[in-house]
Amino acid sequence: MPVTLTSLDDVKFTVDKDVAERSILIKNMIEDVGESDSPIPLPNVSSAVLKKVIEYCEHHRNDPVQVQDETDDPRKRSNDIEEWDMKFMAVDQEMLFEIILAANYLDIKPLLDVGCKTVANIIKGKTPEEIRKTFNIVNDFTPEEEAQIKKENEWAEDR
Amino acid sequence: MASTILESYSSSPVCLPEIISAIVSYLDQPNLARAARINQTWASICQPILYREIRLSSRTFNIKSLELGLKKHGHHSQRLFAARDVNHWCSRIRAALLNMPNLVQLDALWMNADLLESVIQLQHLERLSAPRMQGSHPDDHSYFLPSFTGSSKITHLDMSDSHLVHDKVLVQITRACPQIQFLALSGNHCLTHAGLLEWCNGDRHLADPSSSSSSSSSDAQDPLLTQPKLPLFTTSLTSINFSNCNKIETEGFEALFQHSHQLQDLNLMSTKVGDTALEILAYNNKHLQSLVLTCCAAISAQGLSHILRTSRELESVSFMYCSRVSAMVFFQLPLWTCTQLRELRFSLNKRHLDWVGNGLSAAESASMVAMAQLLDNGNNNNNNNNNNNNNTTGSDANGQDAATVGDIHAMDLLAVEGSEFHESLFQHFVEGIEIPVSSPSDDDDDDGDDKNSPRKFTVSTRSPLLSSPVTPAPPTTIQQYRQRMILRQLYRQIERLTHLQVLDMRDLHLPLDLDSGLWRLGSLRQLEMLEWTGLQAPLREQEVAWLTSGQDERPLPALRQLLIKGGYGMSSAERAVLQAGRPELDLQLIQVREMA
Repeated sequence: MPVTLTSLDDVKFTVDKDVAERSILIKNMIEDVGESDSPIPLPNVSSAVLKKVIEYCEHHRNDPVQVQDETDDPRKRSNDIEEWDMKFMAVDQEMLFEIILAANYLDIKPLLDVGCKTVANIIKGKTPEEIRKTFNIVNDFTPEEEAQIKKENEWAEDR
Repeated sequence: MASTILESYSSSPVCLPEIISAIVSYLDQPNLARAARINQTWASICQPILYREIRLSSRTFNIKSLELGLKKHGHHSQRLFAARDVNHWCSRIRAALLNMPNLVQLDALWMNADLLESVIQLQHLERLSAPRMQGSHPDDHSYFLPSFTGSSKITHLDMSDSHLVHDKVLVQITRACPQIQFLALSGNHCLTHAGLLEWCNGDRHLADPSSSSSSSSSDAQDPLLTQPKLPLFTTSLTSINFSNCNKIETEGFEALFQHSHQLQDLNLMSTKVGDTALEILAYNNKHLQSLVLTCCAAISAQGLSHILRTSRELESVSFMYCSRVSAMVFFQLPLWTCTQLRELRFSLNKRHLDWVGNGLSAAESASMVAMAQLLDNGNNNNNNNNNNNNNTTGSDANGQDAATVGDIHAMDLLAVEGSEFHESLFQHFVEGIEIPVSSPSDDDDDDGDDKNSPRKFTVSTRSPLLSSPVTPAPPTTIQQYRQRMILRQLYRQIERLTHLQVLDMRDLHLPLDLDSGLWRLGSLRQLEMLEWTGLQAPLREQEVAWLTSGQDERPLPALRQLLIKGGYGMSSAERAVLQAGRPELDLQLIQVREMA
């Protein structure tokens, strides 16, 4: 049974239920409301982004459900992005951020992961100043604070 | 809640703490350190992650910076890995440990013994790995004695290649850390069976390990000797490495295995472990998965067979260079039950050369005949009980039915003392046994006499896995015949190990060629690595043709690596054929004899 989604700018998308349910948010909504023909409003996602997200969900509709492996290891790998996902993520930074936000809001863990990995790969090898510039982040350190944190973390920056 | 989603939606994801956390979880140590300098939000997220797991491996890392950072963030630290390259900072790392009270894991290679001074302050430590600890002052032991006051949560302790752990220390540690599961004390020349006995039984006084007057005077007040008997032994131990601990007599191992029931991984390389200890091990520890007995001079086929026929979960076993282990290990009853074995490494002593030269004694031959019988029955039973066995095994066993009778008589022949050669009798059995029975040779009806054509091997049989691809050259001497009979049983024992991935056969002093039944190994479908040491003859055209034969069903279909070391290898022509036929195969010939 197909499901209709309505974007922020009131565009309607009709997709198969298993595609829509890649989003845990939508899955829970459908479970709460029960089978219904009325469209599901997604007031946080623009049609451009929703189209992209649906493209991802359709490609990954048959993926097995991710097992939550909450291993204690805080360091994960970011060089294992599948080729299709890599191409999918080759978008401008604004769209990349929109996709990440939408994945976060819609609760699509694999898409959020792949988005975060993409950002991590952009960060790698850059200086803090370069990262700030790339992502438009405001530096709110005082010069003393910045010097201090540089000093105490220097051991880790050595290659 | 809705308003915060809206609010956050309008902002950039690189300002949202939850998303920053997800992003930085993919960064390594240097990138994480840089990301911590972006702004306050990033710093507050990155710092705890950066300090949670610290890896020190560069000789030139800034120790001052680490000391500074740990003073502020050390309470976040759970794991510290210090490579050998930083051991020149040992004393400062030792001091810095005091700022890491929540450390759960410490890996420090080649540090000085005084590192332990700080370790005893780490009350949350679960894994301590400090191999090759340096320093040999007599009072180094004082970090453990009179009482080890470190974390009682330790489950993993690696103190290999150092002399710090002697008998009393072992007893003290195991007393203080009842949850210990992994214990590696390899290369220790202080530890004796007395320590293990004390550990397990708790009722024997330790012999003083050092006779120097200073230490014996302190022993007089040693609380260890006056403490009440405790139930010392932990049953949670799963992994032990005592390799090269050559002061431990086998009675120590016997006590240890008597009191353990959950051992899975055991490395006893170059120890004095004996047959009785192996027997106790096999019957008390049903979940044994990996066992290394290489260079154990005291064990024999008898002790080994307890393991091989009891440990059903065994996945890896090696018994190379054990001077008392004869080919009998392949002939003793009952059959091996460790059919889950993935890795088998062995060599044999030269006892079987005696059988080849002089025949077997009546008792030995009786054992072999019984073995041959059981192997055949065993194969048939397997097929009856186990319908999920694939077709190949089925047809194999059926094929062997016909050979059974011949086998048993052949074993009698093996027993003929001396080297008297009864041509007619001999020929009869050879025909009964070595000619492929499951798949009669259906090749070359038309071009009959070109016996040496490689095509003969590549097209000869429907299934190269199941039968000999060549009509074996008849043995010319009774010695050669006996060799084949020994190999036949050896291969038949091995071919039952259908999960085998690694097979290492060293110094067998028997001809490993197709005529002698090498093709039987072809059915090991999962075998990835095959290693031969000390081949007595080079691989010939036929063996190479066999290895490269078949399309869908080639022999050893999963083979990725073939390693031939010492002895003979193969001619460069055969080598080229093999590499052309199996380009994926990593072929290595190491220190083999030069071939013309």
